[in-house]
This record gives sequence, structure tokens and C-alpha cells, in this order.
Amino acid sequence: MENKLILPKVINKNKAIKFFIDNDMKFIVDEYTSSKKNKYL
Amino acid sequence: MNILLQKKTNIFKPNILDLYYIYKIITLNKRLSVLEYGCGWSSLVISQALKNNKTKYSILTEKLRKNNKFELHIFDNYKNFLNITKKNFKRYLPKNSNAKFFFSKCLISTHKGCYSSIYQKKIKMNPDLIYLDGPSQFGLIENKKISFNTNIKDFMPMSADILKYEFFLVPGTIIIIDGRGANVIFLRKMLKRDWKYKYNKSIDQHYLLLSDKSIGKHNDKLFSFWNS
Repeated sequence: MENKLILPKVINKNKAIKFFIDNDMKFIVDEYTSSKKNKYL
Repeated sequence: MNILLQKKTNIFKPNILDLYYIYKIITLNKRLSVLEYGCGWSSLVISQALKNNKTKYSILTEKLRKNNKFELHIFDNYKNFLNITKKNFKRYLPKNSNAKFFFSKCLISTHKGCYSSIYQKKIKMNPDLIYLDGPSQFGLIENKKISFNTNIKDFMPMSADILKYEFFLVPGTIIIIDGRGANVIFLRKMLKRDWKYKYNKSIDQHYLLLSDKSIGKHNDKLFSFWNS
């Protein structure tokens, strides 16, 4: 049986942002775009 | 990583592309359990990816002989970083209960005569994905018998943990390494089994796949699931 590694398609940051918003992880985008640096890990 | 150095840099902000790739690799490759070295935003994203996999595959995987299904075990040698990550789980993912946190000191060690680091606490799962993003080269416990420390800025992190249990990993296991180029060279030289390697230069992420043939019927079933 084949043993393979599936890698995602290459995307840009805007598509990654949309992905996190669409998948209930808007907090990642909020922290990414936030000006409050270093408050949370 | 030196805390002062981290405050000077922007390292606490999530790296959105890194996190996207981690999430997608876990879901596209139907991973069932993840061991993470070094906590952070990645911990939350991995937890969500495993939760997603649980929703999709919990029935399909019922009969697979595998413990700790859909669990994330997180090792870190900084209590404060673990605490911040726990707070972020409470704040952003309060319903996620699949992450287990392990504080462990990290020691200067040797592997086949080469200086490296090793977590003191033993792992409690056999993961099918390992995310290596810690420890940093700083904050390691010195060993009186080893006259070496990685805490010089021009050195780099050199984790040897995976080497110690490599032969317990099942074929199909994936390792993602965030940066740590020198550590990747060390691991690839020292790993004994058949590992396929890929590198995503744009985000400095390394991937290793344990490509050995199946070790038996339980492994066959895992392969069938992964390939279904």
C-alpha cells in the first residue's frame, strides 16, 4: 500500500486569512492583524 | 528562545501561512494524534484540526488499534508559555478538550557523540504526526559531564528527542519541522529508517514521512484509513 504525504496547495496570505475566518478560527486572523503585540502567545 | 529576544521581535504574533499548512497537513493526511514540541498559536490550530478530524472520522477509526485518538500532547520547557497557551485555549477554544500540556525541563545531551537537547519527561503517546518547534537553544539544563551549551546566539537548536523513539513510530508517521534548518540536517543524518523529505522554502517548513513498508495488519488498517 502506498505511503504518501499530501501537501496543501500553495496559497497567499489573503487566502489563508479567508480560510481561518471560514473555519471558525477568526481569532488567528484577529491576532495576526492586531496591533497589540506580544499580549498572547 | 530568550524571552527578551522574543519581546524585541514579533514572534508572538501568529504566522498565518505556517499555521494554514499545519492545519491542512493534519486534515488532508487524516492524522489521529499529534505530539507538539514547543507551544504557541500552533497548539490551537492543531487542536482544531484534530477536532475536525474527529468529527469526520471518529466512527471510521473506532476499530483501529490506536490510543490517544484525536489528542494533542504539547511539550514545553517554559511554564509561562504553557500558561499563556492554556489561557488562549480558554479564551478562544473553550470547548476543545483534546490538548494535554506537559511541562518538561530540557537537558543538554549527546546523541552518538553529538551535542543536542532532550526533554526530560517521557512522551505518553505514539503520534502519527510530530510538530517540532521547540525547544529553543536557550533555557536548557546543563549537564556537568558535558562541557557544552547551545545558549550562544550563533548556535542553533538541536533537538534529538525523535531519534530516541524513532523505531517505535509506525510507517506513515509525519514530522513537520518549523525552520530549525541545522536541526533538520542533524535529524536526517541520524534517523535510521526510510524517511522521505520535502521542504517548503517559502515558509521554511520541513516535512518528513516515514516511508517504511507496513509493519503488520494494524498498520495495514491505518494505511487503508489514511488512503480512503
